[in-house]
Amino acid sequence: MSVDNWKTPTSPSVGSSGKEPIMLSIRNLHVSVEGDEILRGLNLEVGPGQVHAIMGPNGSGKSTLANVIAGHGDYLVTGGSITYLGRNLLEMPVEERAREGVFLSFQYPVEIPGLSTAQFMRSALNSVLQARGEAPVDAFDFMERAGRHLDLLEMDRSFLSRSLNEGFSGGEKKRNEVFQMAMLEPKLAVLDETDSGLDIDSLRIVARGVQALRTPRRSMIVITHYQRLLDHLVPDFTHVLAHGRIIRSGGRELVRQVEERGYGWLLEELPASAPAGA
Amino acid sequence: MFDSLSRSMESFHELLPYLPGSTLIHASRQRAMERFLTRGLPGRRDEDWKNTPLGSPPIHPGLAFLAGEGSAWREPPMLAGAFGVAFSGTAAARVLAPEQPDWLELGTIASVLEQGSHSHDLLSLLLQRPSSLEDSLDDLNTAYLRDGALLRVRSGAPENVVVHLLTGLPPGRDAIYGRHLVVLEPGTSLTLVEHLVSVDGAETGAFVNGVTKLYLGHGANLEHLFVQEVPGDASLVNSAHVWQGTESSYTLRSLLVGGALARLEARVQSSGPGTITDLRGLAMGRGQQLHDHFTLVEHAHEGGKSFQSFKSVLEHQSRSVFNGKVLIEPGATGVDARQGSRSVLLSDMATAHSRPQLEIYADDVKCSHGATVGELDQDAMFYLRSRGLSTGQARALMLRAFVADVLPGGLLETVPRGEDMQSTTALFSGPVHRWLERISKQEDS
Ligand SMILES: Nc1ncnc2c1ncn2[C@@H]1O[C@H](COP(=O)(O)OP(=O)(O)OP(=O)(O)O)[C@@H](O)[C@H]1O
Ligand SMILES: [Mg+2]
Repeated sequence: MSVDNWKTPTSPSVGSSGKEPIMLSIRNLHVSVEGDEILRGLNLEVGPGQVHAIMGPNGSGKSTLANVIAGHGDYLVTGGSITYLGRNLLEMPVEERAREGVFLSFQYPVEIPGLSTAQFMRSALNSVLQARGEAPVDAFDFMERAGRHLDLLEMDRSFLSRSLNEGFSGGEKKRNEVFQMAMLEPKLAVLDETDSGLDIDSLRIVARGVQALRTPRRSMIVITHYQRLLDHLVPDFTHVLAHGRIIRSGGRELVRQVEERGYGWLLEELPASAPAGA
Repeated sequence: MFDSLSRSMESFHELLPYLPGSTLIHASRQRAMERFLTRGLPGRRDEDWKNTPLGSPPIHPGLAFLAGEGSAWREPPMLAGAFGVAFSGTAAARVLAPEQPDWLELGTIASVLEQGSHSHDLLSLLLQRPSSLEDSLDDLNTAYLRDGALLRVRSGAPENVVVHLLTGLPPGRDAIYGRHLVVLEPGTSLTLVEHLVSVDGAETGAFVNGVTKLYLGHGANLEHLFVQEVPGDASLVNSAHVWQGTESSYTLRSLLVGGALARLEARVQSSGPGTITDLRGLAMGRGQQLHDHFTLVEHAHEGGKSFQSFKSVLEHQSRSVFNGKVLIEPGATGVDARQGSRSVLLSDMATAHSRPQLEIYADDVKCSHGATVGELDQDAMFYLRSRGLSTGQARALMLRAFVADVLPGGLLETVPRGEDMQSTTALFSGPVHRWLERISKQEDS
């Protein structure tokens, strides 16, 4: 099946009609890292334009899920499936996922001394544009596009000439992730704690930046520990991930409940030995 | 063994009449050949050659070339604004400078040799050996020395003088002996570009034994760039012998890309206090190539500073060797010597040898060294690929970042074309880009 089939606009109403093409469908996903089973039968369905928040205790497997979606080789999928726009995502190499519109905003962006942010971003953008059948950007076009997004995120142009993430503050690294997302215009963005380590003002700027990237067709999975980001970026659905599965799903009200009460009450409601799968 | 020695002496005597120089010079050649034959080519028994098997390359130059019958060649374009000397290894050196200002003397070594006692001072500079030298290649070079560039920068010279020394290697398996003599008078500066190519870009299996003698006067400033991109399975051994006067500064940037076996030696000796020495090099190996950087920095005076950084990127079964010796002699107090080597292996069949050696006989000195060998960082690879870059592209970008700081002026962002090619930065960027271009097209994971 060709991906192009899904580009045809269908119903403009978002997340309501069952006829919407599914952006991402995760079924009974089992993932191990170095022999430990981290995800144990996770299910998640994301429609076009939907924003799903994922919360959960430290070490529950949120980043594992994000990394598996992006294709990190350290994570071994031992069962289940992930379908992205009708294709088997798990069979696609990392770069192909990115070229087809999957984007991960890293919880811990990697520093690469000596590689300028501009050079990296221009190469990445051109790979993605080429995959979309669009013309590559020259240095001038690139600066123009980059400039617009940097302004929105209140980032100085000098970021472009600095080595990628090297010596960036925690907040600057997160802004740089959102900047990359803006440049690459993904169909599905997974934001892994993009709000962590941001001061109040930065959080507002980053949230506004991400909100500006929200479109009726672009889907987002937002992993966070805090309500603050979700005040700006209101989710359509909220999930709590624990023990390797989604143990509770709800609307935006679930965010406030978690913020107020923590996870204890949800974990207590689980059956003593939770069966894997849904 | 004895047989082959006497045959070598015979060959030498046959060739001697065709070599430039007076009887005096020929007597020196004869003695050098005798010394060489007693010792033979460096081999595994020599500590400094342990990981660099030179084997037995053809050592006698071809008669046709010595007789000057080698064909002229079309030199590649010289660097913009540079004075040049081209030496094809098969024909006499040619000075490529329309007119010479009074602050620059540019000539050929053949003419120094022919003038005999008239150029006594130059001759002794040309034949001086660094005290650290143990092997016999310098002797072999003296015995068969054909030609090279003579270069003297006099006071009154502007700051940005560039001299481009181009050596073109002929196709085939000839032995090529060149020697350059470079003298910087006190307070002068020079960018010296030594550039080894093959004639008309053809593959060559030549054996090159090249020596460059460099003398820096008080406060002189030399930037020495060495680029070697020779196609084919040549064996290339080049040595820079440097004498640094008080408060002079010597910078070396070396790029080894071609040949089957290529070695660059830098033997730097201080002849006064306050010297600054900055040596950096990059080897890019593939197939069965072996690239070797050998350095010896001898601090014999107070307050010298030396910095060394050598890197290699290795594919397939290629090898790199770095031998870095720092010698701090008694009385050379306040010396600061730093050294590091880093290698990236792109295949598990590639090997990098690194051997730092510090010998310190003085007090109050700062010394450090470090060596790392590894693969490209997997988290960084994943990060780049997650932005849409192929494995090859991601590797090439990471390698670009890795190599940039050992190249003069860094690495240009794209492959230099047209007029941009004629800068020293472009001269280094070109071969590096061509190498990385290949990596970036690789599609495995
Ligand atoms: N590469 C890895 N190697 C070994 N263990 C790993 C690796 N990645 C994750 N884990 C383990 O898997 C479990 C889940 O980790 P994960 O990073 O997915 O948690 P998380 O929900 O994102 O936590 P946090 O909220 O702290 O970011 C942890 O126990 C962690 O130690
Ligand atoms: Mg995490």
